Amino acid sequence: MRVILAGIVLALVFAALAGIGYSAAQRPVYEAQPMPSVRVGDPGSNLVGQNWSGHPKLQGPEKPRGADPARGAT
Amino acid sequence: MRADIIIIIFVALLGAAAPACAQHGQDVAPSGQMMTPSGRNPTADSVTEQQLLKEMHKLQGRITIPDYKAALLEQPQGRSYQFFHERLLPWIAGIVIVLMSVALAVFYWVRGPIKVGKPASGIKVKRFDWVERLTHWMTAASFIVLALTGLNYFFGKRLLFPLIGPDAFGAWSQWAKFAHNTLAWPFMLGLLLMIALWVRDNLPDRYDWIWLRQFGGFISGTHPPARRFNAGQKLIFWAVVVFGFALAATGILMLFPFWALDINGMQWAQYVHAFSATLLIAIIIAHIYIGTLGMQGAFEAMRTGEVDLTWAREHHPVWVEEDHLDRRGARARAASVPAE
Repeated sequence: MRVILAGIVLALVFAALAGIGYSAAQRPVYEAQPMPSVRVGDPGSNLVGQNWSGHPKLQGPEKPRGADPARGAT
Repeated sequence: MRADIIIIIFVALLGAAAPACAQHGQDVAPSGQMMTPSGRNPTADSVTEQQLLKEMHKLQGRITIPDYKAALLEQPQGRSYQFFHERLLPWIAGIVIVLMSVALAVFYWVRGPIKVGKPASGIKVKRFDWVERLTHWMTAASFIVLALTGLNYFFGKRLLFPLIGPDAFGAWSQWAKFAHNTLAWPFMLGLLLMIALWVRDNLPDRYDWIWLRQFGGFISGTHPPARRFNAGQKLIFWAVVVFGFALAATGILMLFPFWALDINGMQWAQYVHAFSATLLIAIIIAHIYIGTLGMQGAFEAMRTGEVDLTWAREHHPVWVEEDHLDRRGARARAASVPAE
């Protein structure tokens, strides 16, 4: 029985090595096939435009300072 | 008022009937097919799908992504491949595998296991060393997983999907594909090792024809002479070599898609892979049967590496006399000589 288990373990070891080899050999598609342009799903919201600051756009209106409802108005 | 309602209903009916008339070709041509002022019909003048397929054998377009293969829209061979993969293959594979299983079940029911005729001698003969057994079990474990995960491509969505649902089937198929791609390598390594270890003992010899004529004695209950491997074992060995190499070659081509083949070549790789896999699975089912239920002592040979001398003399008498006793069997020879 030990030789059967050893055979199974050996197969798993070689399979794991193959998996590591695949990971080392394969590249993500954005590296393997880079494109000069991008596709946008929704041009109305995910285009950055000329005035892009590099920071993500805040979602929703900014809260005024000191307006924490848990503390109450100060 | 009443006349107005009748007119409205009449107009509405005309509007509703227009698409139906168009479907039957009784209506006017759509605007795209209408004559231009120059008297030409641009739609009628344009090239058709069938003309393109006839002249260019494939339909290709122009794309903006770097993967040029995505530009191929249609090829006639693709339809043949789809018919094979979706219709023929599941039926052929199912029939071959089920037929083999049923035949073995009937054979077991009629013939029962092949037993050793004489009582065990108690003398053990070395049949497989640890390298041979380790190679066998590594290859066997890999092949069983490869077969089950490979059959998932044929039957998974037909048999398993309705039972376990989309989520479980999706997760299983993802892991099955990963297991299939990775365990292919220990299988290929085992294939090469088995060839190196056993090819010499699997070359044809003069006892093979006798074994084949007697069908191995399976029906008559006799034991035709054989060296280390009989003709049946040799057939299985060469089937593993031939179909194993076919599976390995086409498998590597599919592991690295479009590396050496175009789309039609990839389809041919899948034809060869699927046929080889189907036949080898059926053959290995027979091998598993004869190595476990079908023959007394066969499983022990590959588990412990040793067989009883009586078993060896009944199934492989020439090996015991010529090969084993001459080259390896000092232990067995010494033990089999009666004490004075």
